[in-house]
Amino acid sequence: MGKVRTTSEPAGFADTGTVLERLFQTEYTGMVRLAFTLVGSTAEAEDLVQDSFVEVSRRLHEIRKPGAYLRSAVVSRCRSALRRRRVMAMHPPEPPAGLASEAGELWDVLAELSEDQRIVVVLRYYGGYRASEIAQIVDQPAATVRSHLRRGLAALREELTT
Amino acid sequence: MSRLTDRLERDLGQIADRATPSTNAWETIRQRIDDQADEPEMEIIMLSPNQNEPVRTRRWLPIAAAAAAVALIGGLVFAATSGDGDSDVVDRPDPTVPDDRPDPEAEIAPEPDGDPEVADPAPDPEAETEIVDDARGGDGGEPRDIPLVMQTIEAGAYTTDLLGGTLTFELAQDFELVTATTNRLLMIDAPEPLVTVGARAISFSRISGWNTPEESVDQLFAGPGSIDPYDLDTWLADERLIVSDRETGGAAGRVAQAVTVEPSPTAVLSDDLVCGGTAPCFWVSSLSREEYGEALRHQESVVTEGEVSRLWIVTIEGSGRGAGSDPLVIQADTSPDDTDWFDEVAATTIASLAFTAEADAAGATAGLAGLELPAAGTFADPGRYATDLLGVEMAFDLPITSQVAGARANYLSLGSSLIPPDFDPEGGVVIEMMRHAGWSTADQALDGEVDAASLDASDIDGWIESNGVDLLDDRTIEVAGRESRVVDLQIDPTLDLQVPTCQLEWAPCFFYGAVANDSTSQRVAWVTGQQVQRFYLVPIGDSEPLLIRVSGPDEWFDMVETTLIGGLELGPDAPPVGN
Repeated sequence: MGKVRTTSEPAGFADTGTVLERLFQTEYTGMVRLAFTLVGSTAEAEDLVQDSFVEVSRRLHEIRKPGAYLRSAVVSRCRSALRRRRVMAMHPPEPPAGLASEAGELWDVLAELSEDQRIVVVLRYYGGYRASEIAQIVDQPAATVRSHLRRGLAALREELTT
Repeated sequence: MSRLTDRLERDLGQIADRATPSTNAWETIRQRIDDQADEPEMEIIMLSPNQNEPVRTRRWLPIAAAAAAVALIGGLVFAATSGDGDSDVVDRPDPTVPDDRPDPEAEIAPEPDGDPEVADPAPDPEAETEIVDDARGGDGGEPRDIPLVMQTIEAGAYTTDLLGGTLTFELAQDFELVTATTNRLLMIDAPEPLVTVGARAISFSRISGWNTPEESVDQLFAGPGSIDPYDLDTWLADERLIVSDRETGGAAGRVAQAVTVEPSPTAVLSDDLVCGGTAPCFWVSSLSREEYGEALRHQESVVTEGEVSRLWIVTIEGSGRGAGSDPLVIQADTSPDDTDWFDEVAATTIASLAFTAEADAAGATAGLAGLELPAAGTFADPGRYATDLLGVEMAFDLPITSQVAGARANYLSLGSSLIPPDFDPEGGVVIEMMRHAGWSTADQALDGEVDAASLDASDIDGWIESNGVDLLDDRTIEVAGRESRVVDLQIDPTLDLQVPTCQLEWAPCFFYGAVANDSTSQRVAWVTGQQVQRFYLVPIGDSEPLLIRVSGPDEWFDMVETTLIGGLELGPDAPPVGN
């Protein structure tokens, strides 16, 4: 739990460059890994996270918690990427090389979940966020997040144990 | 922690570790920022759906109007008010505006600063003394009981306990008493019975909250108003009320605010019959707790075009009957050319006002009030109930008709699942309240002995860890003024656990804890894997905590939290029954 969750919020730094650099140091790797678990490609994950940093930098003067904003932006971009992929009828990416067999099986089953379910499951069990926190990240009611989480877990439980 | 969630954490970590971020990522980001800086306008213009109005959104108008209203208020108030109201109003997201962008404000907006003047008023000794000295100083004579509704209430002094204490007031003229219910009195002096707009009216209410603009036009809205009843600033700004006078003083020996308002021409319109098609017109507030359970709203105050309203908001401390510390609000309405009448009301009704909430009476106990719970096996209608069945006195709002499935020492169970016509066995909600003696280990989950719950009552984490439970959410909120932990849980539905006293369709189904001083031979506190469970762990001093379990489909959770949990009152700390 809490693998990518950080408690540091670099808000309050006077210099925007410093804020962004501090944000990069605390969040970049975790955000790339979070995005990777959703889109399955390091290059694409980095691209999405870097895009999000650019957006944060552009709006830094108006947002008070850049870390929270960054997380929302990254997840939002991952969601868009998943949608584009679905529209283009692309096959899900192959499991990353070198995964243990159980992790590879999880990768395949995750790909079968709806995009909402996949996102909340990853945020909950990789990111370590609570449902109420996920609700803010994905901009959905907490009850909706709980519902996605419950259904996602049910699907995973069925697929992974049969 | 279930086997599945253990595996998810482990394997997702393995997957994520396969991503190796590039070493020059920071330089790449800086380059991309520089590139963006060269042509930011081009991107905005290209993405804008309407290049002629690139910044105009539906949010613009209410923000501007709210800002204007706040500015107007700021220019006219008699007493200095908190300066935080402006930014709070402007920063608040407009839920009607579709926006695909991440909304960090929902997370990052600071807790609204309480208005120190309102939420924690500093009494004005001079004003209070003056009012107290003047109280009962009129010539209304000995207070009389109020008459029956729809009868004339003549000029004079009256007393009533309908508003959660002993209220005494004086009227300078005759009115017709239109409403006299718990937490609400309304009297109108209308020249014609069916024409009330512009007529003089006085109401007394205990209010649980001010209505938001959405709530204020919803005829079916029956919950507590969402705006704190002492947060006058937010209400005035949200409803865009035009404020012509505002001051802070005293009434009934308490701090009071007074404000004169009328709706702005752009305010919302209620579509219900009470407003009679006049526009703008909307409900002001929600009555205190005893009224929540009604399907339709009770007669409440409105502000409407063609009238000016003066409201006195009297701070109430302690516990009144079914109304907690909800303020007493006196609202006077009249036509715009009759506003001098407000001075008469202030000089008579307000000056004569005396109010003793039950908790204020010398030597009185809290005495939480509410309906008596019906017997186990019967149905309880929506309403506010009070009981000392769990050792500590408690009063709560039951939002829906429920079967009292269990009611005995230290244990209360209410369920809606079998109540027609709206509920079904799988779609209903179960609310269980108990003084919690302890949690069961996995080994004790099928053990019906009452002492088979060896984990400490506060050790919910220990229970989660050992019983195949998925933790969905984990929060800390204030319940009945006590910092309380709230967790949402899903029991692993594949567990092979079933206690004999639980129906087969609820499997897996097993004991999770024990009731304090349980005098029966069989434990009753069991959970099922077929529904999400929400637990509230409310501390009761050094004694066994109050555990509230809500089980059912997601859509019930917020409603129960708003009503039963939000309105829960507890008396002084007390041990479970039998200690």
